Formats: sequence, C-alpha cells, structure tokens
Amino acid sequence: MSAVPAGFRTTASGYAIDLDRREAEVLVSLASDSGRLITANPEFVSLLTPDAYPDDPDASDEFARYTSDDLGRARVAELALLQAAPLDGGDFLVTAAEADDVLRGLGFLRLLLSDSAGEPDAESPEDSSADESRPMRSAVSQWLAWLQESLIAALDGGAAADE
Amino acid sequence: MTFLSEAPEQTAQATPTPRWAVIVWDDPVNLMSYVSYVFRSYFGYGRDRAEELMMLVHTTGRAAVADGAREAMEGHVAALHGYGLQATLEPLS
Repeated sequence: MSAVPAGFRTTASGYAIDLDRREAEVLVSLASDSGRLITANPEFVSLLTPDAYPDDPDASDEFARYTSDDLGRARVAELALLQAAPLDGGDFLVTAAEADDVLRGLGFLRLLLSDSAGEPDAESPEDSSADESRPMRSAVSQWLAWLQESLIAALDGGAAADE
Repeated sequence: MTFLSEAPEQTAQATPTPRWAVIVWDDPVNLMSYVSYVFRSYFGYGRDRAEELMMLVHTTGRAAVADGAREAMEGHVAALHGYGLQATLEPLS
C-alpha cells in the first residue's frame, strides 16, 4: 500500500504532520542519538560550523569560544523538540513558537548525515558516490529535507492566511 | 545651529568605523527554500529580497547579506550558524 505523503498542515495551535511508526522511530532515534553525541562532545557542533574569520584563525577561535556553548545548548533543545514525535505514529505537533527550532533541528540532522561522506547537492540528489551506508543516509536526508520544506510551506501558508 | 568651536570635535567623530560584511556561502546541504526562509525570518527581508540573495548564493557561491559594525555582524554570523548556514565575516575596505 502506498499513499501520497501529506506534509505539515496548519492547526489551531501551529502545525502537525501524520507520521507512521517507522518514520517517527527514525526521527526520534536520529534526534536522540545526535543529542547524546553533542552532550558528550560539545565541540562536535563547532566542527560543522565554518570559521567566522576565514583568514584569521585566532579571531575564529575566539569567536567559536564565545558562541559554541550557546550553539550547543540550542542544538540540544532543537533536537529535544524532534524527539517529541509520537513513537507509535500519529500526529507530530509543532507549535508556532517551536517551528523555527524544528526547522533548525531538521537542518542540523541533514548536516550530520552529510558530514562523513559528503552530501549530494540538495537540488540534485541523484549525484552520489559509492559508500555502503550512503543510500540509507541519502534517503533519510531527503526525507528530512521533505519534512523541512513541508513545514516551511505550511509556515508560508499560515502567514498568507493571516494576512 | 553650529558654532565654529565645535568643528574640531565633529572632525574627530567623522573617523569612519570599520564596517564588516556577513557573507553566506553556498553549501550542498541546505535547501534553497530553507536559505530563503532564514533570510526572511531572521533578517526580516521581504520575499523578493530573500529570494534574490538566496539565488546569488546558489549561482555565484556567496552573497553579502548584511553589513555594519563588527560586533553587530558577529551577532548575525552566530545566528546564521544557529540556522546551520555557512556564514563568515569579511572586512569592507
């Protein structure tokens, strides 16, 4: 059985998407594992962040020292929101206030999935190279991209409806 | 009303403060729609301006999305890192 996937829709309190059990498990386990990774290795977040001053390593290091803790705390909070997806499947509810953080969390998971072997261009996902785990990571990353795009569309739709 | 005696002070204040640009670089992960969303939601740019900047990033590899005093621009870069964008600082000569 297959059905056209329905993305995020607007609700009275924000946004919701109907996830099946498998989708929810993937989202929750990825977010949970990533949250643990960051908590255990706070510097990991900085590895995915470019040097603020490409031609000045000292200034970049100082910038990272001042910003990495806040960035790490924000990441953990964003990933915690993703872990609220219902493991038995059903509606994953995102309040209007949480939507921005959920978008960031989804984007961060995609950055993580792309980090070890590179990511095919987001707009040309068929461009890939050999790697055993790559097909799975690529499929999950594309699904996360779809979630992210769907929530942005819902946000835009909600904004339009408010006007 | 301006007095002649104020002139030297005005000259001293006219020393330009170094300005910095926030550069966003193209990357293979972030979606075009997400980058445009960030420009709209964080900077408050209109849809047309956000799309224009996003396309500049996508087609040329980079775009200056804001400029101003260093401290304020560092705040922008930190915020854009929070969104997962590849943002850096660049002095404006």
